[in-house]
Amino acid sequence: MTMQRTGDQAAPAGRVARAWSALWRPSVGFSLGTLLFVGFFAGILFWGGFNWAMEITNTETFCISCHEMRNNAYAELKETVHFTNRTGVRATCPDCHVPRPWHYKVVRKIQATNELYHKVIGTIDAPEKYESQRLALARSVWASMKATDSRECRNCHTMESMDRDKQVRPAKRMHQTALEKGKTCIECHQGVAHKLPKGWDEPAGK
Amino acid sequence: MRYLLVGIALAASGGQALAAEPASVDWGKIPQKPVTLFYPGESTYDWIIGKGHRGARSVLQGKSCVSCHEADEKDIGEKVVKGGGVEPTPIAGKNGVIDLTVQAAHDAEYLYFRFQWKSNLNREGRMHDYMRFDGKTWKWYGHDRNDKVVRSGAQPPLYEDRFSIMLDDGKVPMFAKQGCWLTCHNGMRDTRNQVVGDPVKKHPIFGETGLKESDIRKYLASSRTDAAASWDKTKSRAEIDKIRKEGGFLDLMQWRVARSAAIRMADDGYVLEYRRFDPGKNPFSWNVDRKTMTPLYMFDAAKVGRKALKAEDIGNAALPAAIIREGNAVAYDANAGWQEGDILPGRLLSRVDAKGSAADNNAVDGTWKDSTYTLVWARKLDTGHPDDDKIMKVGGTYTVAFAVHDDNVTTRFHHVSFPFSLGIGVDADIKATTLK
Ligand code: HEC
Ligand code: HEC
Ligand code: HEC
Ligand code: HEC
Ligand code: HEC
Repeated sequence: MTMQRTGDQAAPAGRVARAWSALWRPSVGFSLGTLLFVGFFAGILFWGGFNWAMEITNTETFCISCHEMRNNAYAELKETVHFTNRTGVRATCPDCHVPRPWHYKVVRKIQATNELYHKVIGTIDAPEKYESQRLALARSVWASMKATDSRECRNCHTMESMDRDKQVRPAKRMHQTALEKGKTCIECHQGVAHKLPKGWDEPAGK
Repeated sequence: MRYLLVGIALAASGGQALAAEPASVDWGKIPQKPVTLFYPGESTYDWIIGKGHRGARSVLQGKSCVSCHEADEKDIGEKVVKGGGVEPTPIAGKNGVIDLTVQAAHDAEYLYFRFQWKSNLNREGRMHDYMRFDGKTWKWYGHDRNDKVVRSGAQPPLYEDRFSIMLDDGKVPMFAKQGCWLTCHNGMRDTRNQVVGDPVKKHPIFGETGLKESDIRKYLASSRTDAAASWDKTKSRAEIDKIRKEGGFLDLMQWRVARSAAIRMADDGYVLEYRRFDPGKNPFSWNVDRKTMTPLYMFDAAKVGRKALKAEDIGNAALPAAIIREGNAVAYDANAGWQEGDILPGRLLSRVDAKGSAADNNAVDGTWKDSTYTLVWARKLDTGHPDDDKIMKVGGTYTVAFAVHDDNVTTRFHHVSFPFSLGIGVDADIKATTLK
């Protein structure tokens, strides 16, 4: 399989992000969070500031500065091939969750401000709360991935570039099926990066 | 007159309620579902969820085997049967797959099945646990193909063919997705770490104070406490009993060409902490006192034309292969002039004596012709034994999985299916057609 390297994990924002993550530690309380929330929009007011905010908020360090993301999503990702593998390419949160073309980014970021809002009001603060929200969150990710034909996955893997002859037999056969039936990656690869929530295979609305 | 006929019929069926006749269904009108049975080798549950299996993480997350292995049966079977990988001790010449045809129908009271498959041998697999007189004493004769004495060529392969059905109603966690692999574990007979004797006898659930077993057989992962479902990490007796009461066991029934076919029956068992027969009395028992190796019955010469068989009779379809207590047997006579080479079946069959939940499968007819088995089977939707049978309803959907033991094999040397949904008159992988 051909691996393409996405550019933005190497964002030069390490120091700043670390500072940010300190701000985001739950012990700090959410008044700082609120400040930042406001700051993010302040940044958007200025073009340069917008790009700057985009760059730092696009790093894994930023994502896992929130304990909800660090203790669950990140902890689980670490157990998978997307974290450690023979190619040395590691998929980070934004690789799968933040669209590359920047206008998509804006949409995701605006959705992300919703996450800030939930952070502030503590929707998924405690582990039990995370578990109780998880199915809904996963479904929302699946829905958006399905809608984009798993665009983020295809930044790194594509059907065309995957050498199907070299794949294990079940992959080869199911990828043929996928092409014939027009199925997208996420329809078969749910749970590649995290633990699947309970009820993942039940139809939504149940 | 009518009562007389019913009386005769009842006597012939051993006093059990007369079952419906599965052969009377017009099978030509019932759709056929092709199923590929494949050779699974030693792909025990701990292997399935272990480092050696690429699908392990997904299996643990609750994905189905066919989410990756759809239409993959032939490839798996043909790869595994050759040995290496999950088959450390292959059997030479064995086939990787068996094509099975499944048909199903139902009425208000019964579920009917018809199965067809080809056997590897050009004779019926109806010899089992035979005893041979060596001039002085009776000794076991012949074994399954994996046994040392058969592998070394010292004794012939003699072991019955079988057809098995597993049935669940959604109460066994994951069964609909992962099927019989939930029952197949390292430590069972003929697996890498087969456990026999003392460790089993000392175990509180299986040993002297429990089931009094000396080996490990099928069990459900849900009866164990650890992720790998180790044989000895059992839940407590009370917890297991509770799972059973709540229906979290699996129904497992086998048509046995030597041990049940001749009396039109199949056995009836269940799997939970162990594989056990349902309460009551089985269609078969021993025809020998195993301590002294003295047979209990011999063939009735007046009916069979001889009191025993000879090695050259094996495969002669004109002669019976099984001793049936109420059919062709008389009490064993030690002074009947036994000669070296005389052979008697070590098992005794009786339809009359079979009783209770163990005797629920009493309308099962199989034939073997030109290397093809055709098996028809009637099973009561409600057997009246909810503690060890799955109670079915018209309109309900269940899960079934099948296995064939072909050509003198036992334990894991069989061909198995992935699980299928079965709808009683409703759409499913296998839909039982509603009979008018
Ligand atoms: C301010 C803390 C915080 C940060 C930083 C953060 N998240 Fe979240 N994230 C949350 C919260 C809270 C939710 C739950 C939102 C809800 O309940 O709707 C969430 C939900 C999600 C979801 C599931 C919801 C969906 O619809 O997509 C994904 C995926 C996600 N975050 C990814 C990320 C990524 C990628 C980053 C880094 C770019 C990130 N998060 C940064 C707190 C955060
Ligand atoms: C290889 C792609 C990939 C990577 C890398 C990845 N995710 Fe996800 N993420 C997914 C998918 C796919 C889902 C949808 C649920 C599923 O299938 O497990 C998801 C779901 C989520 C959810 C919703 C809750 C859940 O568990 O389903 C959150 C929150 C989330 N991701 C955050 C993160 C964070 C934070 C990181 C970085 C530590 C990250 N993700 C890295 C693919 C990825
Ligand atoms: C940043 C690049 C990147 C992104 C984005 C990405 N992957 Fe991967 N993926 C990898 C790498 C690297 C590997 C490991 C390849 C190897 O070891 O051969 C991998 C491995 C896999 C595997 C093999 C898993 C296994 O158990 O061996 C699957 C399946 C997969 N990815 C699916 C996905 C899906 C689905 C998505 C989108 C949700 C996705 N990937 C997004 C880089 C990526
Ligand atoms: C119809 C189901 C299906 C679809 C759709 C599908 N896959 Fe797969 N894929 C599989 C199966 C099954 C495997 C083999 C088991 C595994 O590694 O998870 C596999 C394996 C892989 C692997 C590992 C291959 C290897 O040889 O190590 C990658 C990478 C992958 N898929 C990426 C993708 C991507 C990217 C897409 C979308 C473009 C996609 N898949 C769509 C079923 C599917
Ligand atoms: C996530 C996908 C996935 C799932 C789910 C899965 N497997 Fe596999 N399985 C694989 C892959 C990939 C291989 C390796 C095939 C190869 O090496 O060519 C494999 C190999 C095997 C093999 C060894 C034979 C062979 O072809 O290599 C057996 C047996 C097997 N699987 C049985 C099962 C069973 C039974 C289940 C369900 C309990 C299951 N698998 C679930 C992906 C999966």
